[in-house]
Amino acid sequence: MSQWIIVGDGAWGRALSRRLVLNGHDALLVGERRIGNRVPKDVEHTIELAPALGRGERVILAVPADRLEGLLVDAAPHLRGDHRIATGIRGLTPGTHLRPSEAVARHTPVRQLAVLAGAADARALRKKTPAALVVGTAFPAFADELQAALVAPSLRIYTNRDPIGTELASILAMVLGVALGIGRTLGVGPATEATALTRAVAEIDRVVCGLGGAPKTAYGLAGLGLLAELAFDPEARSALAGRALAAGDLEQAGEATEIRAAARALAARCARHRLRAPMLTVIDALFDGHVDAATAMKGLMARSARAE
Amino acid sequence: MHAPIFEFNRHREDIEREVIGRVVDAFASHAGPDDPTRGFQFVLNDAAFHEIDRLERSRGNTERLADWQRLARRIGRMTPDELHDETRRRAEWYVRDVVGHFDRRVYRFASSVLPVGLGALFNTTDLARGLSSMRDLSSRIRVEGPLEQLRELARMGTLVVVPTHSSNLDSIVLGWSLLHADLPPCTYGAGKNLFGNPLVGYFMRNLGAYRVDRRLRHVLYKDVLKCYSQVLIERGYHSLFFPGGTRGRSGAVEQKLKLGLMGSALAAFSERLQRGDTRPIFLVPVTINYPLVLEAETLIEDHLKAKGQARYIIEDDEFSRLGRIAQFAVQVMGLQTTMVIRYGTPLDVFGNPVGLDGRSLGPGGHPIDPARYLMRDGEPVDDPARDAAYTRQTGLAVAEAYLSETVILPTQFVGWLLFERERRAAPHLDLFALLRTTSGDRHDLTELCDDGDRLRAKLVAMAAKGRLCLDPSLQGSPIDEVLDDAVRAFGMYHLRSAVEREADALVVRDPKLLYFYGNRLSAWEDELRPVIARGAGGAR
Repeated sequence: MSQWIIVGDGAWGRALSRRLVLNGHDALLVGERRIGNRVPKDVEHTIELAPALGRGERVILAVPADRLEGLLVDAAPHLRGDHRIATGIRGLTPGTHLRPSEAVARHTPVRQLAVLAGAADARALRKKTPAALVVGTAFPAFADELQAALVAPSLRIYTNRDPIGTELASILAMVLGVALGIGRTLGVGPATEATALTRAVAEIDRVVCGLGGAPKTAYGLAGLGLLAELAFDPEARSALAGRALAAGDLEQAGEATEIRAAARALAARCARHRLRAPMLTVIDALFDGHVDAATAMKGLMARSARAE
Repeated sequence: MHAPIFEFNRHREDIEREVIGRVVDAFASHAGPDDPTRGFQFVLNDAAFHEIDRLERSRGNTERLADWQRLARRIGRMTPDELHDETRRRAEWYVRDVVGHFDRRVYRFASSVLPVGLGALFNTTDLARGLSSMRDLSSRIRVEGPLEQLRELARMGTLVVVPTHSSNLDSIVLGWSLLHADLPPCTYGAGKNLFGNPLVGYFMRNLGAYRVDRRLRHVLYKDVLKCYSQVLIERGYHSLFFPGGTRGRSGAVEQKLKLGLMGSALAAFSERLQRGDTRPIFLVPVTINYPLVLEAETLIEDHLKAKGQARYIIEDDEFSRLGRIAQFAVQVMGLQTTMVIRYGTPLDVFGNPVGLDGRSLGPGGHPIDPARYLMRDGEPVDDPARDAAYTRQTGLAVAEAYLSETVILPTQFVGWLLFERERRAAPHLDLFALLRTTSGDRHDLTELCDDGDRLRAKLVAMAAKGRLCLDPSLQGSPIDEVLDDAVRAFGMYHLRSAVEREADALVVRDPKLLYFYGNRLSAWEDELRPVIARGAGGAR
């Protein structure tokens, strides 16, 4: 059995460490241990990052995107070539607009990287409801390690060789899920929601391919899988943010800070690469209050006709 | 500087034996429990198929064609021992075809005549002034980069020099630059077609260059080649190869690199570690920056041809015509602008930068141990898929170094500026229409200077961030002098000048050449395009 170091003791980090312990691994959880965050049984907890990184070579990062770069700069002197890092983070770094695994490669010497994404959230892992995750990595042996470490009767782990696409699809799905929440609140009906869902997948595919990912990744667990989860779950954060935006409640929508920040960073990155991402642009503008939901929808529908 | 290659001949037979043994053993290891002949059958069938196809299509050596056809008919009936022996026999043949030779007398002769010869070639006005020609040569070819560090690293480990490739003169000027910078000579793989060149073939045959026959595409040959390059690095021979594979046809800085030989460096590092040999291996990216490219006309024609791949090996370009080489050299000598060979920051085989003391450095400047990349749970682990992924990452690091170490010269600056103005003037035209229709377009000098100033300011800002390098001649002079310098350069060598000056305008004469030289900036064009004034463009 192996030693795993999970950095970030939020709900996701705790759920992953519990899953690892249930599979017989040693899990060392690194985080601030905020009040109310109960450390799962048999999971060791520490607030000291540097010594923790010295205790093993398998690392999962589960911290918010806005804290990632600072953490990596602190961690870099303690990381080695044999460390392997999986990121389970939805968001781009603020300012530099890097994908989480891209940020790891930029700030640390670690080369063996993987991305953990999909339609299983902390709640699904905790309640052991059947769900699935995908590991995207160019390093098959690391994919096998992650797959074996996390798999369970209630959790299927798939693998692919497209970390870039997997990571982007997951972040894009979280942001574009807002559109599904808006549609439901405006009461536009199933035809409109279905249109939003399929166009969102097409947009994810376009952006993923434009930024170096592989075609089809958008249609896997990280893209379509997560979008469908958001469509089926009216209480998901993306859906709630969409509901608030549809009602013009910018204050409440702004509470979904990671979604708002991801929308901003993705829109900037798409603009830099001249990628067409109309839904993303509209959601970014909605968060900024530059447009209201009804006008935004009219704007999207009024765009010039094109092939699918 | 002493170099392992001086001792090459003493170890040559041993090297050959090692390569043959390794290649044959690797195929033997492919045997399955039910089929002990699988590896050998596959490799012989693959070689026979490719060779018969190639020889039939090229109507080449009929004797060899018949030999491969006979083999192809026999493979299915051969015993395991016969298959093994036949594979070994073919591998031996290819190894002997590939392996180079090093003659110290030729090296001594070459190292004394190369500078003078090149100097003379580049300054035919006074052949008697051998030594002063050499001085002149070093004023026309600038060698820059962390040379002191590289000399030190060459003493403590093995250098694998990986330059950009835009001309068949590359290996010659690079050889001169190694000598000039007191760096050790390198062994390198050169296209077999070049060995037939009367100018350099003799030297290449005797200075450790090994022959690469790019027509051969089968697994046996590729494995021989890869294994040979790996064994050379493992044994500490400083090596050189062009990751671009062939000369860049478009004029752009290479970004798509062939990773096979880059993988040899990593494999050699891994093999050394397993034997307890801790000598490091350093990759040295180099950019070769020509104000004029000897074969520019042929290369850009080839790039623009839809069937460019069919002419993968060009045998009838300017390099095959001694007169053109001499003319090129004379004209380059007359230029105000120098050719620049820029050695970049050395990297380890995983793409990490290397410090002055030879230690690999992480992004924060912390020393790291490259051997750790090959370990799992404290032990070295053989994992070809992992190493292939590492090699792809290292390829990206080298490609990035090519961009940051590229030195932009006036001809490239003016090529990009004029061609971009042409694009602006006719946004509805595709590339081929632009190339067909823009000859004769006039660019007002005042407008051109305005655009040029803005473009230069942008490039200066990018150079300050370390994203590229700018030649001093481009930085210090008034912009109209930069334009004049480039126009003069274009007019000196090419059969048809790319651009000419007429009163208060520059007139496009050869859009293909402008496009070729301007392509050197194409990697940054998304950022550069906005600095050209709206509505800019040539008048017809």
